[in-house]
Amino acid sequence: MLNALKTTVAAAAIVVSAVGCATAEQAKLNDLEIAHTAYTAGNLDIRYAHMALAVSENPAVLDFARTMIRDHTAVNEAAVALIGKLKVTPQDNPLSQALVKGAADKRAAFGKLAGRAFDCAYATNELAYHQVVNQTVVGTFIPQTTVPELKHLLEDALVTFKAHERHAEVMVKGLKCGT
Amino acid sequence: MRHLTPALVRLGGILLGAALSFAPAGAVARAAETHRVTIERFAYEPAALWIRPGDTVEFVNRDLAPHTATDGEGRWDTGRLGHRASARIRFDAAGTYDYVCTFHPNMRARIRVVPQ
Repeated sequence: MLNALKTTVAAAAIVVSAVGCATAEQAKLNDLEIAHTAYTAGNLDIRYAHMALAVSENPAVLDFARTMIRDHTAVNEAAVALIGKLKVTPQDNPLSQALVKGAADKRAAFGKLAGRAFDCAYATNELAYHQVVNQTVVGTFIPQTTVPELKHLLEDALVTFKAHERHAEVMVKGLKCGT
Repeated sequence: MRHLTPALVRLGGILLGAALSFAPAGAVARAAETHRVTIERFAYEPAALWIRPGDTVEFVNRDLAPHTATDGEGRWDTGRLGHRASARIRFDAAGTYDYVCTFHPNMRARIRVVPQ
């Protein structure tokens, strides 16, 4: 059974700002809330990717989006399997809700873009998103998770997320959005 | 010093030929081996592997993300390997096999199949 240890997640503000949400107070998360937030973050990235597949015609962007769908789906499937094994239910929380709200706003903004403008907006957001999420997983989620299986899952997932961050860096450079 | 007669030369040639003809038989007698390549942290380990013709390589994915091991020239492919999944590929022909993960093309490695 997951412990309900309360933790201070100062990084929540950073995470939320990275995905476009205006407000973020310090949040206290327990293991169940951390699990919920991590799963939510993965799902939101999958939704961004589906949007990219629908809008972009750039091969590098399309390839990245397909990778996000494939990898985040695999990670979330592992999370679901762990939740089932532990017989617990992740808890929705203000940080998850802020992530969802921020991502909805981002998608609305992306919806007004096309071509190179969309590609650059998507790519730079993916890089920022993975940078901040990874910092949060490293600095907050992993050290403050009390259930060994969940901690191990987050550590394994981090390997994938860091690869995504490197991939996003390459994508952004390749698109030359700053020029 | 004793000189070899034409008959001895011929006999030597026959014996040498016989010895050479038996050499491949010795090679066949070597038991094929199975080697393991672990896919972990978005990398193949070992990244370079030397094996003999007839050997098998087992690819094991320890990452949460799915991967493949796919020959760069399309000669073989493990297909999608999910978390903890594995696949075996047998290499009969000598040569160099550069391979990648089709999902994450920055993942690259090499297998060299060298005759004995």
